Amino acid sequence: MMVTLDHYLVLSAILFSIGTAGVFVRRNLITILLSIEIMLNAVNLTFVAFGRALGSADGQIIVFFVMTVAAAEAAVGLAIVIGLFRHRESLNPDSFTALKW
Amino acid sequence: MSSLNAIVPMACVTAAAIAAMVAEAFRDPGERMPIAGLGLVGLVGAAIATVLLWNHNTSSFGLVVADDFGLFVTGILIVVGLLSLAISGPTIDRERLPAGEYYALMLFATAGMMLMATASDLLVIFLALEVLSLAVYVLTGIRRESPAATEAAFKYFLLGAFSSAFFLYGIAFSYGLTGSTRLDSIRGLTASQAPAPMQLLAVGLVLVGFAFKVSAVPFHMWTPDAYEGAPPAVAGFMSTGVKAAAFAAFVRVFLSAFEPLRGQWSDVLWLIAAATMIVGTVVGVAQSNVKRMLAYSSIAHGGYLLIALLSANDVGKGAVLFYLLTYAITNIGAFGVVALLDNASRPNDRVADYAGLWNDHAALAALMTVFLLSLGGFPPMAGFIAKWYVFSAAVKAGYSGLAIIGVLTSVISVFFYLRIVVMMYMTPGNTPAQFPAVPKIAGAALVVSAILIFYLGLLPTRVLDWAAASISAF
Repeated sequence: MMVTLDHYLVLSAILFSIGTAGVFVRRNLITILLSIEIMLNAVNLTFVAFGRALGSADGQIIVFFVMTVAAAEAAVGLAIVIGLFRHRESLNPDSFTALKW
Repeated sequence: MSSLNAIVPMACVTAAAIAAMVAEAFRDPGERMPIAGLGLVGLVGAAIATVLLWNHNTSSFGLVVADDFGLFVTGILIVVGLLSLAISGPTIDRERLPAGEYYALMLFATAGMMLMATASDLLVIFLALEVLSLAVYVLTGIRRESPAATEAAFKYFLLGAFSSAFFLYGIAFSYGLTGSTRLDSIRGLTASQAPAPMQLLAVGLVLVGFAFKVSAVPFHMWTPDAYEGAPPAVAGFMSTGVKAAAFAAFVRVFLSAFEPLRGQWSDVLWLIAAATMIVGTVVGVAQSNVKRMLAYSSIAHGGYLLIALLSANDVGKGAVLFYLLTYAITNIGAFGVVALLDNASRPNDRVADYAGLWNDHAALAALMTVFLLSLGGFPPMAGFIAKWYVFSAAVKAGYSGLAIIGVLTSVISVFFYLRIVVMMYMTPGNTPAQFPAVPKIAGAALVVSAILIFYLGLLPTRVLDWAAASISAF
């Protein structure tokens, strides 16, 4: 079977949806952060697939930028999670109720 | 060298930020250093560079364009940065925050905002968005010992990261269809083809990303929490700087790259603008905390800016810039007053805490009145002229419905601004002398913003001409 651009796009769309669902459904801050990483990596797959289909290296170069941004985001995100854990001794988002409208 | 000219303003600010970081590293515990002065130097350098670049339309590598539109927003960001530096001092002293880290983060965020306002490539806009967001997430949670601040930082971080994934997915589709992330190439290719479903998907995803950043309804949930948890000086910085930078990129992307698809996105934007104004105003009325009230007010103001973006005739584009400028000065002033009333033992941020402010701090009460009336759009303050231009642009462009919703929500919003004014002047205070003394620099900054508000309200012609001249780029 030939693996075409559409296969990659469908796979990355599925991964992106899994990540999106994970952000809403999971009840653990670390898992939520990992879901966001899945979303970003789904986008990376899209970039690489398009880059290959277009025959240009741009798509792969963009992925390096995205990976760097994702690493920086993870560093800040985990630091904030540690700060939260020190206050509440819990990773369940339902236990964070200091701010409400 | 000449191709680097367009990035000089943000380079000045970045250099100041790095200097602030280095200064903090060499600071002995307890030693006082004039780190804010470094920020002042960087911002003044950026201001000089901005003036020199004006009207030259320089471009760096085709990725960053210092056209007049970008430079006007850069100017707004410099004003925001200077006022934020001035009102941050008292907060840093009182909360014992690490001054070097605080100022470095604020300056890095400002540099990211400037990059976002002048970027002409979707990938650079994404990188700038992340540079400013990461710095602002940390600033939001910089009071580490406060559970509310950490929680606010996490909520802001989570929704921000989530939305930037959507934004990036949109860029990926746009890249796949056009083979480029440059705004002008995307515009050329989308104009020549019939709109493909994937192109609409790209526009939609990018729209979601921007809507999160400008806190448009229904993507506004993080705003009140983040503003309430952040130190008031940071909330003022976030509500003005992030909004100005995000709107600059929003206008640039939608009026250049996605302009050929206008027929597809204008209806969606109409609904978002209407919902943003209505939700921001109606929920704002129900708030008892001044910071949350100002947060909903800033959501509503985002709705007015969306009207200006949507009615992108010549009046409308100039109105975006003028509105951003007046909104930035006014809102940072209002948050500045909140910051000065904040004291170590209690935040003094409930509406009831403002009772009798006129007797304790007549000057602060008068300044707060100016800022609130300008936010509500009373003449002769700047807010009135800004709203007038937005609504007249909307009527000219055929969006009378939006203009009517805008006028009605402005009238309702006056209710919650006046509630604080009534509190300050007509309600007796419960305990005397509960407010801290006002530091000179911060007080002077607030007086300057009040003067600017009257200047822009009474003699707006010159600035309006600049704004109108700088939008000819599109």
